[in-house]
Amino acid sequence: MGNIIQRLRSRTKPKYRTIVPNCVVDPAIPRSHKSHPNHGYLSNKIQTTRYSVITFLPKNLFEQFHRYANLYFIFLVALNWVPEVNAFAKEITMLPVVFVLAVTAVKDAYEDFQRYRSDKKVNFQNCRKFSSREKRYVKTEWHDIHVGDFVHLSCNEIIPADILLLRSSDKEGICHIETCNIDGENNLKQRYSVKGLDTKECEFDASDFCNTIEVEQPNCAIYKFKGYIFENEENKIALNTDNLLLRGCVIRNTDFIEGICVYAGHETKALLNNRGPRYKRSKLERAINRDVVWCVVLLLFLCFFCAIGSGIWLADYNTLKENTNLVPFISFGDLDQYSPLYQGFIVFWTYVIMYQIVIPLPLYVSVELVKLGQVYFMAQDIEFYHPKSDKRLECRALNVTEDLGQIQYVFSDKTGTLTENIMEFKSCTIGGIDYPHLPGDENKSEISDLGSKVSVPSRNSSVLENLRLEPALQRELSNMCLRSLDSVELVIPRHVQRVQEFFLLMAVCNTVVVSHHPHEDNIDESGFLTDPQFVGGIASRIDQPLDKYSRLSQSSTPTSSQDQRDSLTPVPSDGSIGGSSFLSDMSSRTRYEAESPDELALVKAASTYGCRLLKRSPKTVVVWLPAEGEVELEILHILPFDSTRKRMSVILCHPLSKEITLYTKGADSAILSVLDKSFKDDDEYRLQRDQTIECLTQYAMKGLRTLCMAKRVLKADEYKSWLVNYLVASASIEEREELLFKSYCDIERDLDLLGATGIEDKLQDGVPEAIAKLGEAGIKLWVLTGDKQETAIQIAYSTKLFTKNQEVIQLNATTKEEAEALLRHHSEQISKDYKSSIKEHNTDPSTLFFREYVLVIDGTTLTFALTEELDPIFLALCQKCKAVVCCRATPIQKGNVVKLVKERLKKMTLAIGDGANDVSMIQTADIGIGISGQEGMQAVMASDFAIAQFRFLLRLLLVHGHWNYFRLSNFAAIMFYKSLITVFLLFWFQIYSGFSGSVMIDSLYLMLEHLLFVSVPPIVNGVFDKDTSAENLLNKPHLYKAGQNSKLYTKWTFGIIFLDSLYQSLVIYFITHFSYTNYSVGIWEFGTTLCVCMILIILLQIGLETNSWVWLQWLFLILSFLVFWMFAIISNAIFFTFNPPSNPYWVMENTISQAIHSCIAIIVCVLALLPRVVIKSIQFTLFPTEIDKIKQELQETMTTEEKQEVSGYDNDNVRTIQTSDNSNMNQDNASSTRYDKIRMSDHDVAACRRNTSSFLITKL
Amino acid sequence: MAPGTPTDSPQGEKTKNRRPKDTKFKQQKLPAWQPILTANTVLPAFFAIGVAFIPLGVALLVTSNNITEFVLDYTNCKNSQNPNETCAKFFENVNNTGLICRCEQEVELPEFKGQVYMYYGLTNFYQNHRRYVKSRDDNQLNGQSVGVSSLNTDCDPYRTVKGNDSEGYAPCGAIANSLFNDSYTMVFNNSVPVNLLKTGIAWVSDKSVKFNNPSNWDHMHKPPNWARPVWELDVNATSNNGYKNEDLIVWMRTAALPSFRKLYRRIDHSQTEFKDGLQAGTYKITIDYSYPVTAFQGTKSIILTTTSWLGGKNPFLGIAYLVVGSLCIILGVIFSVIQLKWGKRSVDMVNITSRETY
Repeated sequence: MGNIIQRLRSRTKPKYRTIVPNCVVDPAIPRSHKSHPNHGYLSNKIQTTRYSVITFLPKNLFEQFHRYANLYFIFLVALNWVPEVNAFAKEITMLPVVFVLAVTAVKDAYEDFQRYRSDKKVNFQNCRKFSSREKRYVKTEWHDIHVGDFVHLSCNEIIPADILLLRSSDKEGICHIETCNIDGENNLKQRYSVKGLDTKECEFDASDFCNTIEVEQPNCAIYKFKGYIFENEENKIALNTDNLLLRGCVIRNTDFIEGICVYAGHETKALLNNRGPRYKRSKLERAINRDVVWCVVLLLFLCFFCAIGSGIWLADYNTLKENTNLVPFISFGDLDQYSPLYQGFIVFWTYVIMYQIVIPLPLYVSVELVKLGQVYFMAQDIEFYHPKSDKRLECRALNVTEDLGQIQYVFSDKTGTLTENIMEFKSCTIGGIDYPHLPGDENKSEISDLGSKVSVPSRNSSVLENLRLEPALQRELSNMCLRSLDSVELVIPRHVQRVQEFFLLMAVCNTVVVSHHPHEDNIDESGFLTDPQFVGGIASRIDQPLDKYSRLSQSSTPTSSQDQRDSLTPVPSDGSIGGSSFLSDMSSRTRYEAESPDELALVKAASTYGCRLLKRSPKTVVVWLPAEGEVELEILHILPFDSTRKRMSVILCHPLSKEITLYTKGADSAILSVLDKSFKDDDEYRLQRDQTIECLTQYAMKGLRTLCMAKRVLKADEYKSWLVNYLVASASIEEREELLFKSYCDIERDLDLLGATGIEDKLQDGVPEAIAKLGEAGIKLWVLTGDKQETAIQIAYSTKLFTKNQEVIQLNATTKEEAEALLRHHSEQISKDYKSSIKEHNTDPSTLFFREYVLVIDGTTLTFALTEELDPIFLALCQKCKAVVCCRATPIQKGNVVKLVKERLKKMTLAIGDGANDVSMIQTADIGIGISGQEGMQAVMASDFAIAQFRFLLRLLLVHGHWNYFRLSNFAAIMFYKSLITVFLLFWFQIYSGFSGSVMIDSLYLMLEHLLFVSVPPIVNGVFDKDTSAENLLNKPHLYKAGQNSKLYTKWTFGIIFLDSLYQSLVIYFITHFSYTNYSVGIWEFGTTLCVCMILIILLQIGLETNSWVWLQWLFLILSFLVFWMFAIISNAIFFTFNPPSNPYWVMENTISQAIHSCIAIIVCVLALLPRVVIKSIQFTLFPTEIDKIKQELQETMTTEEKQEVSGYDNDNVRTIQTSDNSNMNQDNASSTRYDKIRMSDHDVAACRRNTSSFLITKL
Repeated sequence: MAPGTPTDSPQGEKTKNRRPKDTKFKQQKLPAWQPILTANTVLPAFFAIGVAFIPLGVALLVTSNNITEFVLDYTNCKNSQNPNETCAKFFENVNNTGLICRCEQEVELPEFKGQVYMYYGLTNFYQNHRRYVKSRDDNQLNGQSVGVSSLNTDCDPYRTVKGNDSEGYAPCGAIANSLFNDSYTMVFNNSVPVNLLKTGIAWVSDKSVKFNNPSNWDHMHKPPNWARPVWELDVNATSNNGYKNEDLIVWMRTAALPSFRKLYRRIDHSQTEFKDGLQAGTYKITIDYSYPVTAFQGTKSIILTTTSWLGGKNPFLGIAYLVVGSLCIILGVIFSVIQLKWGKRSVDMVNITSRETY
């Protein structure tokens, strides 16, 4: 709703919104008044609820009536009010619709209430805003913050609205925030207070600040923000993303901040980004919908048939034409009404109402209930729990649970999905010399030796514990170290200098933050200064801290980094924390926090080699260098990383030599292309470069991620001229990004290559096994990665996606023609090979061996392959290959590949990934799975299910997917069966009631049948039933193929249900009919017997279709019958007339007290279920399915075991099995007790018991 | 729920661990049994059902056969006043509801043992027709003071007197209007009249609760087809008069099927001649024929029958039990054959495939 308002508003409003600080505005002007400069901006009160108490009913009903199914049933209710047509009592017909609407409404109301509660919780959080009346910050609640208010926040507090940072406790105006709540990234990000305001001598003070601010209209771009502060008429200060604190982020590493609220409430970027859940329709649901259409066809057919029948029947009584009184059972007031055609037409609509049950009204509601149950148990599965990250399965979509059992293609990301995305520094090459960092024990001693020599500070969290230092490299560094200690003048060899510079670059060229020390705000929770000179301040300060921090720890959101944060949370102290005391233990508190794990790995590695990053501020960086000790370098500029340049740079100024150096690190392609070309002829240089490139290829072959390091010494005038351009670019407002990009590229050229690093991204646990099993399950796995080809292939081998005896086809083309030629060539080659291998092994087909192929395609070739002309060949080729790896793929390409397979091959696709670059494919695929790993929450936010590890995918698909699919197919079949049998039963009666639309079963039973009497057991089965155990499914992955090929719910399923229910209804109706012939039976007794038989048979059928029985299923099956039975008895014991024509007083009691009723019920149950039992057992014996075979095996082992330990078998257990199982064949416990009651001969009951206890029982 | 808002914030450190509970219920590891339907396992069930059903079928058949039943179709019985004309014809020509066509039939009855009931049977009479079934007002029949205007509209066209909306029919509706009004008397050996009991033929629940007389009969009229108003149905016995008249109650319980029989009278066995039922011999049945059925090709019959725990004479259930029982035995035999011939092999097959695949 908010979004719509927003859109409307932004359409009519100018591009920018003007904000005047509220303290400047006359407090007498009400905020809503037009003369208030900030009027019309939303307040910070958020309301995510859809309804209020008053609007709930009309609004919810309105929304529900938008569903076609509901509309249809409302139409039927309306139709029933037409007096000529009505089939049932008016009120009774409304029952199902009202029930369904009510259930949905209750669900919606509950969800809305949850939203209301969470809104309330959010709105009533505390923070401090500036009060112009009291001239200080006062405590307020979140909802009371308005655009233009000044807000004061302490460390660890959550930002209540989008706030423009004006002041930070930090001297440079830096503020660190944690954006975990928005993008899930746990590292700290820096924000800066508005530059330019700092240049004024005085600090920002809320009461002085009266500048107007202009910012963009609210939009959902989290990483984009533009605006100005008008200092005076001509001078305006540009604002950008770095100045904006987003709602939901947490202040870290900063004592306090102050700022002005620019967007509040629903206009904040965080809330604008809050899109509702997507609605996906599962494959099975589509199949169900197809069969619903069949039901409609059947409905129309039956209605037409009966309407015609009615006309013909009526035409027989042509004597009516003369005298309406002659046929006493056809009562027309006058002769005009006697018209077979007209009556046929009228009765058609009556039949539409009567046969409405053929479309299972509660189907959609109960399918949702079933899925809810499935999702609950999936989330509860302990096997999905990952203790390391304290995460379990998270289901974000409710309606695709069974699609998990039908997946044919899996598209996986590599980094963070197949691998841990925990980077480990593995090797480096400096100046062409490779330092492979071979693992070995002998290094261990050297580490400790060298550790003392180079005086690496005591080990702490910033040092890699498990990195085996390269001895050669250590030697170089230690040499340098000694030299620098002894004689500084000694000329350092060029290579050694390179080594140091290499590590300096590793330590400096990044965005790593060194975070430490606790934070103390100068203002307490209620806004009083905690300065000792204020007496009140002291008092409040002594009382407050505990209170305050307890609140803070409560409001902090739970994340995996809880431990880490605890260490950061300041301990309440008596205020004696001084700078000195905490500096002394700084090293133990030092902690690096980086935006990317690669950077962290590099900094830590550098630190291990003694090149330590000690402190970083926007202007300076303090590092410890082996050769020079602690050095403070001036940072002139940071040229941040972007995906087009694929590199980042820092420009440093050495404090002593004043030498300006550009350090660049980036992807190899991004660096190698901008190397200094003037040295092209220099042999030494070329050798170095070639060796580095060779090392890079080797690293890639090992599956390492490579980064190139380069530097460039800038001449002073060169720097100056660039600086002018840069400043112009950064000051420009309209095309700033483009201009900045250009200026970055201007300076990043003619680089001097220092070396390269190789970082290993460890494979996740169990990935090769999972991939192997997915393969066995017939699931094709494609890896789509942005990584390099060599790395991708290497990972493919190490994950067993590729095996040694497979032939790798690599497609690398630079032009479309080339791509086409390659695609055609390989396609033909494969078919040729296939034919030739058939020819070769003509004699013995059993030893036929086909060569397996795997395909590797790079991003450029993929671009061509995805074009319309080539994609058929590409798809054909892919289908011939066992696995496909796409490397260097962009996020959009990933999405396109998934789309291609999904739409062209009509296959069920699943995409799994962890990063923002996977969002496109996750959203495109039928099922998107997010890995909640290192790279943030974007993938998870877009996904349907979130898991912690790739290997959980196996269980998710093979076990839960299979179960869900199996359960829902059974569930849908039962739902249709229930409806059809009821309708057919009504139909047979029409033949004997002149096609008049007469209903012999009390309409109350009919309406409640699918809501109450037979609705719960299928739902219970839909949640609990298992065809086989999880262990079996995991051990025999090929069982998954049943779901892949949609074997359990096919086109024929409905046909079989149709025939079965037709047969069963025939048996029920005609046995009852002929048994009651020559018997003085009233229409309602007749109907009661039919209804009892029908419900009994439906429940027994559900029992037959149950694969594994747990006590819940017994309970609900028996309970269902009892509920019906008791309902009938009780309702028939009360005299009421609201439901004409059936006045059921004492009907049930009279009916069941007659022996014939029970005799009919027994034989009907046996005869109706006989074919199903016969066919099922024959099928099981002669044509067992895969699952049946497993059951048989299990049974055999069980029986042999049982024979051995039959004496030791728990006697009680046996008894319970026998007593509870006796209902399996003929009737429930409930009914059997009933038969006892009505004096059915004892030996029959005994016989039933004997029959059924002989059923073979295996314990799962 | 809005992102970026600290909603589910943990209270203290209690919810630190998100590990699901390892209970049997939550992990779906409740003890379960998997019944398997194989030829082997259903085989005994089939034999057992067969063994149970065949004797039961025999018992049902014997019970049915032990019932004595006599049916007399008198649709076309001769008018005793005009032997050349059948009563059916009589009504076709006369077309007047008030008239009675009397016919007398002499029948030779076998011996009936035990309680004997007299039924009337109608065929091709669709008492289950939708509009017919609805055409009644249960509140009126229950004696509630239903005003003429609030009578059930489903009673139309037998709701209010034509042209006068303030005058209604009692009871209203087509069911009541079409009340079966033939009456029978029976004489044994031309000398001993058989006493027929009018009461005890309707459901006790109907008579005591469902049907009650109103306090007055103001603005109520007899239904058009009736000869007498409802409050004169049985002037001799007040407990059987008005809506509480059992003939009316029986008729108002609409039959399920177009061919039906309804209980008409009980034979009075307090008479010495009929202490143990009806003696064999000649009976003269006099029928006051006033219910035309030829317009809908119906037939009328009079049925004398004894009864059993199963109800009337109907061999169908017994035969059905025998057939299903034998079917089960046959299936049992077939399944034994299947089990012997293929049962073992399927197990072997399983073993082979399991060895091959894994």
